[in-house]
Amino acid sequence: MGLRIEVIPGESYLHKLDARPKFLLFLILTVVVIFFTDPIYVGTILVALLLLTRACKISVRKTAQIVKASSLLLVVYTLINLVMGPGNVEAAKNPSNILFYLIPTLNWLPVTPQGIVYSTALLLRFVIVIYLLQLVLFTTPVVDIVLALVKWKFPPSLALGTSIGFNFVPVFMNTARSIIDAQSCRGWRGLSSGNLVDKLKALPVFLVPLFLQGIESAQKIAVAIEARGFGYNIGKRTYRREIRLNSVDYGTLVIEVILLAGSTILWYAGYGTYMFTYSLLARMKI
Amino acid sequence: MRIFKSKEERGSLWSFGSIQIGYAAAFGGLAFAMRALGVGVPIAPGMLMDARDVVSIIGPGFSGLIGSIIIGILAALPSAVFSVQIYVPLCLMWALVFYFFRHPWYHVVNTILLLTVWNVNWAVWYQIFGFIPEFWVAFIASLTGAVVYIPTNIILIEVLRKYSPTAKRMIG
Repeated sequence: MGLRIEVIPGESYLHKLDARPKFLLFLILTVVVIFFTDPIYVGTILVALLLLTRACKISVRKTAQIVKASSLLLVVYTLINLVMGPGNVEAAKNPSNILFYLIPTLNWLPVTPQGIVYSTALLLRFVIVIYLLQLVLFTTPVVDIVLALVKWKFPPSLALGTSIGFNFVPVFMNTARSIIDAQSCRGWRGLSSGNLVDKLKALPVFLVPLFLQGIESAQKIAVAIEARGFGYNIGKRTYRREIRLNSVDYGTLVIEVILLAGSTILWYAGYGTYMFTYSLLARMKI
Repeated sequence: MRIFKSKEERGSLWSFGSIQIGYAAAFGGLAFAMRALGVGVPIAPGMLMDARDVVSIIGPGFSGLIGSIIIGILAALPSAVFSVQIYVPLCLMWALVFYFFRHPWYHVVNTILLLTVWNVNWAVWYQIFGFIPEFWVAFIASLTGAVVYIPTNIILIEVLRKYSPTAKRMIG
């Protein structure tokens, strides 16, 4: 399951925020969480996001569904970082740091406290990135994203193509479902059954009609936009709704700049590494 | 056998008319729908080779250089992780391959790029996101995807060229 592209209506701060500072907030927070490898620093950002979600009157459970859907990926990701993360690799050189082995019978894949702290921070980082993107999409209509692209000086034809593409998503979802049903009726066993070669053979059975449908739709779109005067001075195209930055948007932009600058300074000064939580735990003798 | 397309066959690199918008919107929407539906080939537990990647490789051949940006954006958006910065450069790369190379040479170039640039790109981003800290482990993980995509792309392009005159005209 991927992200849900739907808007949950509301009148909150995040709903009213212009799409541009909202996407900048997403990008800046993604950069900020990449700076830090400490669970306390990253956890604080996650708590702030949960509070923001509550303030927007959006269900945390609904927003977190994307995290739940990615749980298998999260487990694999955490295990990889637990064993191969730099914190664990460095600490495992000293045998006194090793807590246990993931494969105890062979004494393979040692796990150290530093590795656990580091992988926890990276797990939280991953959760923040996917949670935040879902939160932004829940509060931003697609048309606002397209208008933001135009305001960011994207060519109007590019924004037009993106918006048409968005509008065609449900059409293709229905087409894909119909093709799956039609091919299943003909004895197609889907993409999940059999070995890798069987799966490879099964893929074109599904993709070829879908691509042919895509080609046909593309030609219809081209005729439709030509018929609506696409070729006539698209640069001067106007929109039914205009988006403008207001004082709240400017205030948010200032906060974003402060957040980015502050985090950069902390990172540059050496704060926010996994050793912070590790040393706290060591001092508490946990 | 000529490797590169002639100037007449290529046309303008920057052309972005209604037909290119149509293809970009259709294939972008298709890539988005595939990801949203979770269509893909399960390789191992937790590892799904995404069918949208096939669209993001072939689609730019139809929509041209600028249209490939739209396909990249729409293919990347439904991911759990923000991946527009990964998909858009890759789509631009595939657009250039189809723009410059004749059939069947683009299969050769696509295969080389899937085994090298595509994997390096994913491996680097896996490291930046911190998913897989070791570069070579990340590289080999994405290589399993390339093993699926290479034959799928070749079969798909050949079938499309055979049954759709439009496809043959657009990608050469």
